[in-house]
This record gives sequence, C-alpha cells and structure tokens, in this order.
Amino acid sequence: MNLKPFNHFRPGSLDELAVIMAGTAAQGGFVLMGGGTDVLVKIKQRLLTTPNIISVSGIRVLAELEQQGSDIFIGAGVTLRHLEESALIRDNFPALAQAAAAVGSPQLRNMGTVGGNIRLDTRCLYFNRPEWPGDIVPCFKRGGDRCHVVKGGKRCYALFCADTPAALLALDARIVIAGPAGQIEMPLDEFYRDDGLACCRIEANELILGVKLAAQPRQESCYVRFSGRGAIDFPLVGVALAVEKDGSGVVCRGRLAATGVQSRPVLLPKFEELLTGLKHPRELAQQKIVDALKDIKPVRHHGLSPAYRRHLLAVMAERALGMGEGR
Amino acid sequence: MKQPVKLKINGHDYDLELAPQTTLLEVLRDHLGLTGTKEACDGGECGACTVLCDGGPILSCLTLAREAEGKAITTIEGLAQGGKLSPLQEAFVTEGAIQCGFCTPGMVLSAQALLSRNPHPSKEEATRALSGNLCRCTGYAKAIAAVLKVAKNVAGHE
Repeated sequence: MNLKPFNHFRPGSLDELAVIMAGTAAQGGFVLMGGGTDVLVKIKQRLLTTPNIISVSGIRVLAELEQQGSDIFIGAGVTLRHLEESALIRDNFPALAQAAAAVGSPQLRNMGTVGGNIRLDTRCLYFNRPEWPGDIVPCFKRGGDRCHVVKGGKRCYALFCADTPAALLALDARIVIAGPAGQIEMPLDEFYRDDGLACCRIEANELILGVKLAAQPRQESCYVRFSGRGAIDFPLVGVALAVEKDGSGVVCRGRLAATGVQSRPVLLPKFEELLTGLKHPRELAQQKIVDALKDIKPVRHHGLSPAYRRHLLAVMAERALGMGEGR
Repeated sequence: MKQPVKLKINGHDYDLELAPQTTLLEVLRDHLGLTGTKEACDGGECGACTVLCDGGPILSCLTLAREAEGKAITTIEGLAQGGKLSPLQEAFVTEGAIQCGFCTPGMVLSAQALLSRNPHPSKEEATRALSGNLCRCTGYAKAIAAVLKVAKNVAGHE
C-alpha cells in the first residue's frame, strides 16, 4: 500500500530538531520517526495520518551507547541490533540484550530503535487492521466512544507489547526526556500509564533522549517471552527479572516486570519482598508465584482468554526466576 | 513536491527527483528497474524486500528513499560480479535452495549479511539470520544448507 504524501524532515542536530518541531507543530503537527518500522506500517495501514514526518535518524547524539560515570546511557536512536550485540549491554544487563534480541526479525532489529520500542503504540485486534468493519461502531482508539474488548469499558484496553521496556523496568532504568523547559529524568515506571490511548507520559513537544541504567555488581538478569511465531509476532507475554545479591550470594533486591498483560509494561511489586533473602530466585515455590500474580488481571485480547494469559504469565515468571532455563 | 535525492546502489551513484514518501523499494523497482527486490507483504513481516544498507539487512518497503542517502545499498543485482554468481548464490543453486524463487533475493541478502560478519556461522546462527525471510514454499532447510556450504568452503580455503 502506498504511503500518502507527507513532508519529510531529517535534522542533523537536536537544535535543528527543536526548530522543525516548533515549525511543524503550527502546520498540522508532526510525527517523530526512528527506524520507521512502526510509524510507516501505521501510515500504510491508514492508522496514522500526518502532514509531517520528522526523522531523528540523522542526530548522532541519539545513537550513542556509552558509560557515563556509574551509569550506562543508551540513546533513543540506538538500534535494537546494537543493543543485542553490545558487549557492554550483554555483560551488564543480559535481560536487555535478550529482550532486544527477541524483537521481530534481524531486519527489524537492524532498523528499530530503543526509543521506538519504548514508545511502541499499544495494539488491539480491533485497531490493528487496515480497514475498520463498517458495521462496528468505532472504538476509543479509532476516535469512537467505546471499547469492544471490555464491554462497557470506560477507556481503551489496547495492549502494550514491546519487549525491551519490561527489561528496562526490571533493571530500574531512568528515562531522559528533552522538552522546551530543558531535560528531565524520571524512573521509567513513572513514564507509563495504564491507558491504551496514551500509555506514555510525553508531550508532543518532547523527545526521548535515551535511558540510563546503573551497572550493579553482582546483578543477574534475564528476559523470557512467549509468542506465536518468533520472528514476526509481538510477545503474548514477556517477563524480565533482575536480582542483586549481597556478598554471600543472597538476593538483597529483586524486580520482576512483564509486558503483554496491560496497556503498559508493569512491575510486579510483590516479588521484591518474595525474592529478598533467597539464595536463588528459582527457589520460589510455584504457588507463591501464582499468588503474587493475582493482582494482574488481563482482559481477553488477541484471541487469548484472560485465564490462559494469566497461566502464560505464571509460566514465563517461573522461567525468568529460573534464569531462562526451559526457555 | 519532488526533491533531489542522491543514492548509492550496487556501487553506482544515482541522482533522482523523488516525492518525500517514496520508499526505497519503489525507487529500486519502479524508478531503476531493479526488480530483483520483491514486494510482498509491504508491511515489514515477510522479508521479501530485504536489501543491504552498509552491509546490514533492512526492509526496503519500510525505508524512505531519503533515509538511504549517504548509505551504500546492495540489492541482489549487486552480488554477481562480471556475470559470475557469488559463492552464496552458487550455493543456493547447487543445493537446490530455490523453489518458486520469490523469497530468494531477500533470503540470499540476509545470508550475505551474516556471512560478511561471521564467515563461519553455526546452523543455529544461520537459521536465526534467515528468520526474517518467509518462504511460502517452506524451503528453509536447503537455504540453510547453502549458507553452511559457503561457510564450509571458506573454511576449506583457510
């Protein structure tokens, strides 16, 4: 399907980008594009229209991945392939390297970026189709007034399905955002909200610069996911685990996060307490895992019943706690 | 409004006038007649439109032509030299890794990207490198055998 006409801008610096953003905001608005693997598909499928595309692929500072003091900074324009292959990421944050490696195909990972994956739009079988069936009233995400997934629902329940945000949440990432007032930094957990229409707390005149991760000695992490087909599909459920151990090898802090279960990636806070004091996360009894996941209430999405998705979540959590064994 | 775009494809420089929304796939097939690059799903799922951008595999259906400025693009037409198939193309022929042939250009380029970075891939690495190229004849086994054959031949010369 051909792309409908739009203007295309490719600034070479953040300053130039700010000028173009301000100018196009007054001319019908704009959409920022990283690798284009999500934005261009949506434009082709007529799910997104914009008079102006601003590509950030020419801004070098966004493609940096480097140690900054005790932090590792990952620019929003770093490709998923770069993350997957970076020794710095593989050695310090295996969960993130594994999550990047799980995304789509080699081609998509070679094009898609960290910033794009963080801001990946929520998905729903009703929304992600080229043509809306004429006999169905439009849903919230199609500009209507209802949700067809949750009958009587007061908001959009489209699912968040990106892989790397689950790993970034478990690894305690901070997101760095630039806007007219300067730079702000916040825990990634605060960046998201459980709303299929707008799951990211970011204004139109703001830009994700990247994420920061603190390298922790004696940290172990992993990411596991379940999907219909590996190279094409988004995860039905993905779970990331990060644990820090004290000098005697006992877990002093553990975080488990999931994607594919709500309209945002979620931290599963009950696991923090359950994991503390364990020699190995896999010691956690299966029943305790199931009990700790009771607060997560997935809705019927993409052909999966809530019960089956909850089951998948428990299985993925168990595999993550086993550091990916049985993956 | 059309704008000037300079592209480097298979070592040749092209000066073109293109609308901003023109994809690299459209340029290759409709403007330059390089029809070895195929259009199938047109949505980033099948890999038929795969080309190499600075040696790495990308989907030309999801790449705006202007985004390819300053990069070296290689299509399937760029692999054979002097009328002689590349070792990888030769291996696809001798291993019978071609059925209907529609997915073959993309698959060969994905394999070429792998072999350029890793001349001795394992079977698992070869399988993973081709995972973004769907073959509706389901002819995957022989394509992977062709990749491993090239890797073995390279090893034999060392």
